[in-house]
Order: sequence, then structure tokens, then C-alpha cells
Amino acid sequence: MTAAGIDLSVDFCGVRLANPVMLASGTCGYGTELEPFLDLRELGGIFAKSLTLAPRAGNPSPRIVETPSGMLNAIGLENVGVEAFLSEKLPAIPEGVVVFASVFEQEVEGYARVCERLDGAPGLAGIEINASCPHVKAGGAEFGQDPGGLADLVRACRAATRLPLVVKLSPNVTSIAEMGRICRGEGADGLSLINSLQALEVDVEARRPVLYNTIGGLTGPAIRPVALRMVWQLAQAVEIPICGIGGISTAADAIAFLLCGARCVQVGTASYRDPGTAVEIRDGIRAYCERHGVPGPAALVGALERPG
Amino acid sequence: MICARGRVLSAGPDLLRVELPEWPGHRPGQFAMLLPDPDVRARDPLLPRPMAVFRGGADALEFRFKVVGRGTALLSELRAGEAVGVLGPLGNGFSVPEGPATLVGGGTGIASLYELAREAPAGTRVLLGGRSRRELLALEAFRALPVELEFATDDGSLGHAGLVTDLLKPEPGSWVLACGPTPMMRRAAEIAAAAGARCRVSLENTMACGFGICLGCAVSCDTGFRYVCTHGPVFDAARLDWDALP
Repeated sequence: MTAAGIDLSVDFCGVRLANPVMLASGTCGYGTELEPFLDLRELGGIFAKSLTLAPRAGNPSPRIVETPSGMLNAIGLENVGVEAFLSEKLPAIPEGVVVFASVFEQEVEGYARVCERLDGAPGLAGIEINASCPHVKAGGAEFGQDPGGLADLVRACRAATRLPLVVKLSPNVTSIAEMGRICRGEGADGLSLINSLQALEVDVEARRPVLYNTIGGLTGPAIRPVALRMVWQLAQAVEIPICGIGGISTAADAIAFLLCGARCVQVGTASYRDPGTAVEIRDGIRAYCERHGVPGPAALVGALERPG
Repeated sequence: MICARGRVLSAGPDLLRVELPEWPGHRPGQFAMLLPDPDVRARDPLLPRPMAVFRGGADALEFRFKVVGRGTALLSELRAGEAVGVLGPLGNGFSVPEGPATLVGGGTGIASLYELAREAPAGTRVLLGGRSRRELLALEAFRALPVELEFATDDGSLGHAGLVTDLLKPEPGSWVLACGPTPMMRRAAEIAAAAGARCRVSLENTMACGFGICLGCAVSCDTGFRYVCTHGPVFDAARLDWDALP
């Protein structure tokens, strides 16, 4: 409790967060890169860059391009691999920071092996499954787009770890509620959404896609209303905790996600613009609670009032 | 490294001067991420733009550039007293050569070389090239330095009519330090290698953050991908995969 009586803490999948503002996977490295600009302990926690079994090199440039109120990226899941994360990156994160590892692989078995390796790692609070990998057996669709593939994936990861398991859902689906129910049914402790929207930008002079990979993921303020809609729909369908992601750059943005049913949020692209943004959002949430006479962000979760 | 709001002292089509008392100082060839409108609600542009520091310090940090897109257009239109977001200093920058060196600058790449030229030993050769005399940024500032200055322009309006690399004749074991268009740097690297000189080049690439978290600015080196923002922008020319550079 602060002097003003505001309790910023929230519970997410059994993990107590000092406040609901976290950093999104792929936008905060392995945490320490942001230390020149903010104290990670002031945040609810971080979702580290997605890990594969072996180190991964990613795509050639161009990897990113700015678009109206957003950006596309096709980094290609470049990462140091799970072993280097455990031996070098995780121990370098200051004590007291809530760290979720993010997991990504080509096949269900690979995902499960990374989860197994992470299970019980000292200082690791939980695992987020990045379900946006193209699933070869489903004809290249994302795991998160294929109900059967998603069920197999969550079941295998659940069996591989006792850590809190969060599934990061793809927005590139017809029914987010159906995908959420599948994850809950297979034992997921929580859900995070949305991952980036599949998108394309074209250089008309060159008559070529801007990105080397042709298709990239759209993030930033442009996707925020889409993300809010999906969080709201999901919150109607499942009771397990939700972490909202998508274009959050102000406290008002974050509060909108809480009102739609998210327990906590992840800040992503906004950290590129100003790496101190997440801490400012935390402070803004406190100010909002004081102004509205609510005891803390937990009281705002799902408190959206509908007309009529 | 700081992320702060500077106060615009002056701005124009090829120049931005910023007062930023918190600026911790920098090395030649380092850069900053500049945000024309640092308000958290601003969306145009959404992302800051990487820009080499031309010269200066906390009282007046100076950038020289050419308007090439939306980001540089907005920077050029800033007015005195307005706020500009500055994150930096970033990257490795150039090491000032102790022995004989030739600096080769082309187009806006010239801006990355000014402080290096200022700190280099007297008599260092500095070769600057551009399409025309008008395109040679900060000509007068370079002319005031005790260096051996030569020019090349495509249209012959100043100095040698042709490529700036036509002027490059490095001694064996000397340094060639270059910043400019990729073909210019590649040619400089080839000439240096053929002459037994060592060559380092300063690259640019699209980047969202400038400090190693977006991984947008990858370039291909002999040991795999490296990032322009944290491993560069200055790279050993012999280690770059020139065919894969953007």
C-alpha cells in the first residue's frame, strides 16, 4: 500500500505482481538491455525474448518498417537459445524481477523440450507459449490458428512444466473465444493477447515488399482497438486470467485493457519510442485510481460498463 | 546513455541544433535516436530516427542531415524552443587513428566524420564527395580543420569530377575510415584491401530502438548477424558480407 492507500499489486496465474505493467516478449531483450533507462523492479515483470532449443539467427534485413501508428517486424525469432538464457541471461536479471520466459519452436516436441529445460529454473516465475509459429503439419498455419494444433501444443507444454503456463494467443483467428477455451481445457493457467497481426507493406517504386520476409507482424497503437475487442471477447468466454497486449503506450490504454477484463498488461512497441514508458504507465495507473477513488487496478478488472 | 527531451536551438533543411544539459558526451561517430515530437500521444512518426552526431555537447548538440523521408522532414521543420526526444549516445563510434589515416565521406555520411577529422592527427587526409558542391554538408566547418582536404563531385562543381574513391590512395598499414553510400564504402574497402591498408566503415540501417532490443538493424558479418546499433555503426570492412548489405 502506498501512502495514498492505493494497492497496485495484482495476481496473475498465482504470481504476485507489484503492479500490472509488464514488458512484452521481443521488445525488452532479456531485460538487462533496458537497465540504463529504468529499474526493472519497478515493473510488474518482464516477458523475455522467445527462446528456442538451439540459438537462432533470424531473418536478413530489412526486418522492420514503420507504418501508420505502428510498425511491421519480421525479425525471425532470433534468440540465444534456452541454454544461454539459463546460464547467462536469466542470472543477470536483478533479483526481485518477475520473469516469464517465452517459448517458441517448430514442432510440439520442441516446445515441450524447451519448457522441460526451463522447469524449476531459479528466478523464473512462469512460461509464456508463443503460439504464433507456423505449424508445418497444419500446412503452415500458426499453431494458434489451428484448434487441433493448439490443443496438442498446450497439452505437451503443460505436461512438461509445473511453472505457471501462459499461452500467448494469435489474433489471426476467427474466434478468439474458442482458442481460449481450448487452452483452458488443456491446463493453461493464463492467456496473453494479442500477438502481432499478420501484415504486409509494399515499396511501390521498387514494386517489392518492404520486408525481406514479405509478411511481418503489425504492432503499435494501430492494433490497440483490435486487441481490446479480443481481450473483451475472451474475458466473456474464459475465467482464467488474461494479460492484455497491443499498442499500449499510456496509462489510459492500459486501464482500457483492465476494464475489458485483463488482470495485467504488457507494453511492447512503446518501449522503442521511449524505454521509460512502462514506468510512466504504472504511475499513471496509480493517479487514475486516486482520481477515481478505487483501491487499485485489481478493482478495475472487467469493470467495463455497457450502455443500457 | 540517456533518454531525455532536448530544446531545439535551431533547425533547418540540413541542420538541427539541440540544447541538452544531461548529454553525457560522446565519441566521434556515435549516434542518437531523435524523436521530432516526444509527446507520448504523438504518432507521426511513431519511432525515433537514428542520426549521427555531427559535433557538440550539452550546450549545443548538432546534427547535419538531408531530408529523405517523413522523420527527417519533421526534424527539419522544428522551431526554436520546441522539444525533441534524444536517446544516446549510441553505438561504438570511431577510434581516433594514431597513425596515418584517410577519411572518406560521401553524401550525408560526411556528418559522421567531422569530429573524427577534428581529433585526428594534423595532416590526415579527408576526402569528401557528393553529387554537387551544394550537397557537401558542413564544407566550411571541415575547411577550418588542419587536415588535408580534397573533394569530389559527380557534376564537377567542386574538386575532382567523379567518385570520391578515385582520390583514395592509402599507404600500406594506414587506416581508411569511411562513411557514405554502401557502394562508396565497398569501393573504399576494396582499395584499402588492395593497398594493404586497414578499413573501418560506419553503416546505417532501419532501427526502432537504437540500443539492442528491437533487433531490426541486423547486418551480416563473418560470424553471423551483428547489429548496427550495438556492435556498430562502425565495422571492420573485411568482416562484412557486402553482398547482403541493405
